[in-house]
Amino acid sequence: MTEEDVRRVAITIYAKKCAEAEEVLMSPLVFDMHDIQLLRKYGICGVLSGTLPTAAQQNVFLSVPLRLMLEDVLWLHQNNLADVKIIRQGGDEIIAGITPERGAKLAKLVEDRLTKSFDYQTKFKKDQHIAKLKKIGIINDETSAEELQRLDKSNNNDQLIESSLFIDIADNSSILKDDSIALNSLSCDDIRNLLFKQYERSEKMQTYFLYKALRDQGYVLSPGGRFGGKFIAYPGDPLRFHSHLTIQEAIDYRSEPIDLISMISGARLGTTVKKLWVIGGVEEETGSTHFFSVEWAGFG
Amino acid sequence: MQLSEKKNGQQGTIDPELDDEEEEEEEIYQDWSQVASLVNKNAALSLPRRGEKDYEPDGTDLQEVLLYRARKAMFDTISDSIRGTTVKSQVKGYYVPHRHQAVLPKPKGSFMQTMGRADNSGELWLEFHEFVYLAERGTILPYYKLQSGSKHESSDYDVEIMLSMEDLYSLFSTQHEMDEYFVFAHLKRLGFIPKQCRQDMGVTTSYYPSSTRQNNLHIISSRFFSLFKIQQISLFSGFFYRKWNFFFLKYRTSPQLYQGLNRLIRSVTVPKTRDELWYSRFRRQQERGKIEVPLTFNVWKPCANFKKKNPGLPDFQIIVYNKNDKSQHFPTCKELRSIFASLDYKFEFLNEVKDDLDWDANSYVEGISRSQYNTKTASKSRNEKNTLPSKSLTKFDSQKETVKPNSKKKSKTYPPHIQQKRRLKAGYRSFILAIMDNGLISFVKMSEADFGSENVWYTPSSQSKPERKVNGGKAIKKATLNKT
Repeated sequence: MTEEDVRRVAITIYAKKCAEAEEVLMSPLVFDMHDIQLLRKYGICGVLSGTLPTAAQQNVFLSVPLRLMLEDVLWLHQNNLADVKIIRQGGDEIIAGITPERGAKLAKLVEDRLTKSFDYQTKFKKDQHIAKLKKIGIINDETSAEELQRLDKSNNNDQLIESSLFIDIADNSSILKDDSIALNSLSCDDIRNLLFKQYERSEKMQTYFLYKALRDQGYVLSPGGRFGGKFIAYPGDPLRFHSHLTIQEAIDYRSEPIDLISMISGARLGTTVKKLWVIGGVEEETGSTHFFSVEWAGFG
Repeated sequence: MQLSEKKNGQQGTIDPELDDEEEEEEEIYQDWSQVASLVNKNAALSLPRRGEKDYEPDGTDLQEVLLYRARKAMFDTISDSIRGTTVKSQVKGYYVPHRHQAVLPKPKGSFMQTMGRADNSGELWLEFHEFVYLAERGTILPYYKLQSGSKHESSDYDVEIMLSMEDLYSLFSTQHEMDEYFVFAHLKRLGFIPKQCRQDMGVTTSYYPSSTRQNNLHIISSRFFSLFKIQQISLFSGFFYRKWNFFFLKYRTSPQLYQGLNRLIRSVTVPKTRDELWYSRFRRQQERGKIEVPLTFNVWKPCANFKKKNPGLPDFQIIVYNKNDKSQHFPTCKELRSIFASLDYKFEFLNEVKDDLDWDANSYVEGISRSQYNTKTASKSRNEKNTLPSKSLTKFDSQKETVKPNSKKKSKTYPPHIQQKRRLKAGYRSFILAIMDNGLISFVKMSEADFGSENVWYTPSSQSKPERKVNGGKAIKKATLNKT
């Protein structure tokens, strides 16, 4: 077993107290690249939504954080694929609670990371410089070490290199890794209840079962507001495959009426974007999920 | 690690068989790999087209390889694209929890033109979302300063902790704030200049002159008649709308049908001119205590001489709405009307007759028009800078020069049928609703429309009829253009 095999996705969710003294869970965000890769392997793609620093003037290719749907987290948690951590302290509280000793330790951590990176960068830059000099022909393989040092100093290379060293901002928090924050962690069932409670606040539980049924069949789901649905479903990784389905929120299809206008407009929109308009629901007695797709016939 | 090795091996075995096909695929296939090469070269930014995709997984190794490559390109790009700055150009920003803002002791960079607010000591204060955005771009380095000096009295013992992106995101106080940030960052990346409406801007420009009594009287007197007219219409529709109306007012021709609709629908007049806008504003001030839906962002188009202290009227106004949050809802009709009434931006429909409406002359700062205000402050600053007369003069001249080309620009007037098309398509007052769906943002333009009063049925005008007979279609087009 390699490290990759044992690794579990860690998802941190913040619980905020809102005005009605109820706990509201914020959207789950994932910052770790390894976690994101792993999630993709499970078929959960999420929405990348941070600026890509090297191409900061566009919205097509974005970077971490990866924003997940609550359904994703529920599914991961139910399938025991992720460790969900719920943090009840506010961000301000957490950083206010850093003791000087711990602060010093954290600062040291960053410092160590940067020194290590600086050393590496300096070495790389010096090697590159020497390679360049060799190419121009100022030095060759027989040039002595003293000569090299002399050249180094005469151009005050060190200063130049030092000012061009790169300070990077980490994606992952070291502050939040603290034990004191993890201590009030809840049991698995508590977390599940919290997640479901949050979900039921805004959606019908049946909608999650639709998600689950499709997810278990290998579909990759992403938010579908743009196409007039709750989700859109891809047959595989969205990087490689087009999606064919817009899934509506679950209805009790035996008794609940279907709004004709929304069905027509949904199916019509679906035609232009090459997607089926899918409604579904859960049968109460058996608990099985059923889907129905509506297509614009384009006939006559 | 094991995984990638395995896949690499697979790739190796397939390659010889699929050489030709792969080459072809590489021609079409442009996805993350393009950005990846971009990042490596650090070349000028030209974005690749979205890649070709397949219908569904067919179980072939080729597809596996392509998918593997696409993923690898994506992950490599993200992990290679490190955020941060060089030592030389580093700008540190410190988060200050009790203000929920960040302070930059030594600010530098072009972002200062549009963001932040300098205080007396030369420090720049950034709003929290600006702070996160700049850190995410790698423009500034986010820090938190642990002030232990007061507690432990060990004097200058200040610890600085560099914050990570995860830390920064944990500092959002509500879900709504985070959603607003996503919209803010999206707009920033597109080049727009968004500002939070609740943010204090220094000088506030309004389309409406401040409500002095004189002004109100003027508006009342000028609008009295039309008020009467509105009342009349609504009275008519209110009392006299009956099903049997139809028997008396039978529609015999199609124009009658449209005109009749105008009277049947309880009249919600849409303000279309300056006077009507002022009047609706005045009425709104009278109806205090109604539902208020706060606007989220004022947005300016990218503009080189943006002044953050005195930006003028915004080009757009945006409300952020999270579709998956049941504590929020799509604005109701009442709310929509109150939103429309609260709008205060460059009403683009006023431009429809003339292309270049001078917004400086038509917007107000502290009761006087913005152009007056600007010249006043310019002359004031000139007097203050008397010690350096040459410099201030040249500055003033250059300012004049920048204004000139604008005023020289030919004012274009559109022919009536295009004006009508615009009115039908764009409506009148409008705002943009940014709908957040779990990270995907859809921007929807909401605008007031007045289809009822548009004369859309075709009536050949008496003037153009004989012309058509003589000259044909082309000549008419020319004639109308010339006329206008």
